[in-house]
Amino acid sequence: MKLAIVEDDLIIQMFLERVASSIHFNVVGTAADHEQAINLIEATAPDVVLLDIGISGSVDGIDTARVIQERFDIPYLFMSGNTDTKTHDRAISTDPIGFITKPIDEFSLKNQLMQIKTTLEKSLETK
Amino acid sequence: MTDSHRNQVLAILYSGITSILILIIDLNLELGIAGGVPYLIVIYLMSYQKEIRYILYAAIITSILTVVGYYFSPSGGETYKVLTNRFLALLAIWSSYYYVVKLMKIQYDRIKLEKAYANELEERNAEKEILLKEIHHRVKNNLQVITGLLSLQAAFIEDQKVKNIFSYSQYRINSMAMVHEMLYKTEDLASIDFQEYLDKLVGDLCKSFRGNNSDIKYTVSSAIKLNIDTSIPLGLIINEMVTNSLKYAFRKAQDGEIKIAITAFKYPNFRMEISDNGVGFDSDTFRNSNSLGLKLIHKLALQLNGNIEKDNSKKGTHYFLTFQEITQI
Repeated sequence: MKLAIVEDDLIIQMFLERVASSIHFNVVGTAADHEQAINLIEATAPDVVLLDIGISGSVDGIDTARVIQERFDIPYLFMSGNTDTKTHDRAISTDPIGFITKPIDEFSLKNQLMQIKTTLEKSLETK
Repeated sequence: MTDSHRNQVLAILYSGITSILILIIDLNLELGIAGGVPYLIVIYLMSYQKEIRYILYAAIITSILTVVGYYFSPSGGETYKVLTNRFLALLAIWSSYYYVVKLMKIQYDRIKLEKAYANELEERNAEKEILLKEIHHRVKNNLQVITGLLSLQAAFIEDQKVKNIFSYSQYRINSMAMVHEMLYKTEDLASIDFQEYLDKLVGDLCKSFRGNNSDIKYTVSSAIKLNIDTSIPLGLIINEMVTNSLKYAFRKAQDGEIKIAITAFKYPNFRMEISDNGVGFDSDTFRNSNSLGLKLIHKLALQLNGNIEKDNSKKGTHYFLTFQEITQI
């Protein structure tokens, strides 16, 4: 299962990459902002995108998710530390397949990613 | 009708009545008496008005009444004295008008300055609030980076024992990061809802140890808010206790249960009861253990001006912690 990671903190990016790889996700690449994310998705066609809401640049993770949905129709899950109700509601309204709140606990992240992987694999099989 | 509005209406009413009374008296006195001077009362009464134009109206009307008095009062006294009296009355009316208006302007300027100062204070507070939010956000991000680094480093470790030590360090850091994350979301940026905190902390720990379908039941109840200086050490204590329960208490996974209840106790104390229904351990180990987790529990309890007891009469592990809310200046 191909996974793209969009996170502007490069250490967290490395951490996410390692955790995802350890449960056999094929991490196709990482991006730090909207433009890099769109280019990465265009070039690698991942099965799922792990997307931080507070990415650097003028376009945030939620608006990036809208573009991913419209242009590529790829499922994505959000990560966010700024889970104030307004941001949370705005994110949920884009219909993500998951929402991970920061601080990210490694083991919870693994569990959540594994669950999503299983669900997506099943839905890919039925297609 | 507001108080200030009522005062303004009353001032007009009293001024009107006073003017009529003074006019009646003036019309019944001989011209030689300075019958126009009492109109000053009307000018001072009108100082209750917020608008300067009302005082001007009062000065004009009382001046006209002074002149009316000159024409309609019974004659008496020498002409130069009569004219001087009327002139002095008009002078007193208009100098009082000038004095009252000047006082009002000074008051307006003062109110204006106070408002500007209050606005500036509000703006400064808002700026500080944003700054404080940003700091909590950054502290939380930095703590997240630290756990990320520990996790990346742990990937190179093969010894499971050492790996676990790294994991426990990550739990500790996460318990602190959660406080900053929650403070960032609060309105006052000063204290967090401990029920919400416990839900997340204990929920995450159970998931970490047992996966998403964790068979460990937990109940938390804490209808209190605590500041950052108390939340961080208390969070760490709970993290150690719950981690210990999840590590050692439940040999058989079934029916594992963790309970945490925090209540306001005899002021200024709070009381926390935390227990599991696992295998338990003896009091001697609790007091004299070399384990970092238990040492941290004792030290952090001291930091909270607290006292911790272990109740050995019940099955499992039961702790009672009394503590106080700490404010570091």
